[in-house]
Amino acid sequence: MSDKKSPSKVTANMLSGVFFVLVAACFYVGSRNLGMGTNFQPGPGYMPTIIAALMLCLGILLLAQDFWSETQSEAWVAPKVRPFLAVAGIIGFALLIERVGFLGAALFLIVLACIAYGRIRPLEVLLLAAALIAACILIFVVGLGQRIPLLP
Amino acid sequence: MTDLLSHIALGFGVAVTPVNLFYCLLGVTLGTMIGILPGIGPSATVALLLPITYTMPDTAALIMLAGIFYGAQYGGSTTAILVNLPGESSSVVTCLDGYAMARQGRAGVALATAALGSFFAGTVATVLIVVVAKPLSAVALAFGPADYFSLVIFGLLFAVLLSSGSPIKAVGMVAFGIGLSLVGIDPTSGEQRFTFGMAELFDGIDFVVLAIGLLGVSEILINLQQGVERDIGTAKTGSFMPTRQDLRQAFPAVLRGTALGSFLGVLPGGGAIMSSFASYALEKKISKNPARFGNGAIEGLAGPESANNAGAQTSFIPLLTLGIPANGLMALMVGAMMIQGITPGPEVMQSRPDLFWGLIASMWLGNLMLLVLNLPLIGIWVRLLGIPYRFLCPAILMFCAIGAYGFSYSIVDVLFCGIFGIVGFFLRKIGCEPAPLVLGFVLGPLLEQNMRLSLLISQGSFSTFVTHPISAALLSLSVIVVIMMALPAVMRRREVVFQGDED
Repeated sequence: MSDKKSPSKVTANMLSGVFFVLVAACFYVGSRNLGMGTNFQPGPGYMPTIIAALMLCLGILLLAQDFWSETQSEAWVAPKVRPFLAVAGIIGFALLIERVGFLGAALFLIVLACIAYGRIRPLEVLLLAAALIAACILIFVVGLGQRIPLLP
Repeated sequence: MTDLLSHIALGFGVAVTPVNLFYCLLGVTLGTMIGILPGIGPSATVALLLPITYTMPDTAALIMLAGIFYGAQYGGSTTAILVNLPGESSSVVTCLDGYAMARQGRAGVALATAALGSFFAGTVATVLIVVVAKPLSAVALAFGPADYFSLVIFGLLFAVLLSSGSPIKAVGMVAFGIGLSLVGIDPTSGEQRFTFGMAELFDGIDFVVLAIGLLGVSEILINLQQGVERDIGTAKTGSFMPTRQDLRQAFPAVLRGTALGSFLGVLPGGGAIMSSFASYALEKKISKNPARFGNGAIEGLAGPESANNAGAQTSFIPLLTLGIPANGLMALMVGAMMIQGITPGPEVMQSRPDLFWGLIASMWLGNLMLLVLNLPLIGIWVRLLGIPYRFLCPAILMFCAIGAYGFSYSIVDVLFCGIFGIVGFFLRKIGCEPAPLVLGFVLGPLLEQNMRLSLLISQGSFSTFVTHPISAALLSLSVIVVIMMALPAVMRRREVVFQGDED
């Protein structure tokens, strides 16, 4: 997502090629300290190295395809930022649940999810939050007996 | 034969216990619901419900999850017919002729045809599972590690061949999935791999967390980007009774669709979506008057609807007999079985006959329930379409978060779930579908362990993979699959078959 500056030139194929090469590099670096073993007894580093090599080849193939292909592949369109508030809601839920309990964390998540969707009406959001929280408590805590802290 | 009957009797004995009937009903109801609602698919739903199944009895859990899968096929067609919106990607073709029939005031006939065709296909597919399960798992029991290694390779490659989009990207996603599955303590050497010293990663990445993030959260992000608000006028249903001419035209199409769907469903990467597309193409090709298609041809509705249901059900065959999931959704079923401490494979039939036959019997019962749920109660389901996405989106996110947390009460799990959501979103945006990744993640450990084991047995010689006849046959098939992927002509046809289709 660092290539946002020239959206007309960056294609989806190019990005996937770069992504594959990056992942391959990560797997390679991560498996360097693991023993390769022998063909007789493959070590813990054996499979990751194969995966890294395979993904490197595929990444290069994708980049080459993108470079030489006559037909322009689908261009990369930078995503809107607002929907990512939904993920921020999940992260917030994770950080809050053990500090302020489920009620607060869930309220935070639902409000952020509503903002991520777009225009919000405060009353509607509160009613929705109340209904959802009640439903979750009924299903997960009462019904399934999960040990979820409700309040701090 | 008596053997077979006693198995079926055992299966029904398990399936009709009140608990299992209840979960079957719950599964098909949920399936119909999410099938009708656009914006949430069966993969995401099953992923979301995985943590809940942890507390359920194992048979009931699998019965419910299976019900969601085939129930979604029924629900998807309802929306396609009434409002021209494919609730599921497998019902894209149903829109063509189903909605055309609805516009002619024959929505009721279309719904009845879809439901009865699906029920017929579901019944045939269930019988097929019963008949082939035993011989196939007998074959699978003779598999050695080298054979299993080659089977996994073949299954993964074939799934890639039949999946939509670029095969290079799909192979890359499988590899990425295998790589992610290696995180944690290596079972053979005891060394830590890619754990960065985090205790939470010693046991590897939780399948539930990965699935919820990659399938659930990323789907919401995609929907929020595109916007899925709908304003729709619902067609009147009209009479449900098909005319004699309808029946004469629909019945052969149902038979063909069932046969095609049953066959395609067994293949790795097959299943509901491809079956319905292939069946529509077939019906159009053999029709004397192809111009009727798109203008309310009942064959163009009956064929694909039967095919997708048959395919949805026969895709359980490789999972139940070989322990190899045929598509992303079956990979989720493997996850569900693992949570319950069951390793899917040919041994399940012997060690847990109640679970095995109970699950199969429940599929037929579930299809019967769907018939009852869908035809008389259609009005209730249509009203579901009125729920705006601005309510659904927070609700689904809430379930994602609480599901990821409640699974092992770990904050890190919830954080990972969010991260996988972003990763999944980014991957979808660059044209890499997450389903092959999930498949690779589930099959990765199987692949690595069988490779190590066969090399150990053969004392380091790679010839073991070609000297074992089963393994050699599977590997040569794999080579053929790779060649087919490389052929540009095939690639172009795939583009056509899957245009406008995604899961």
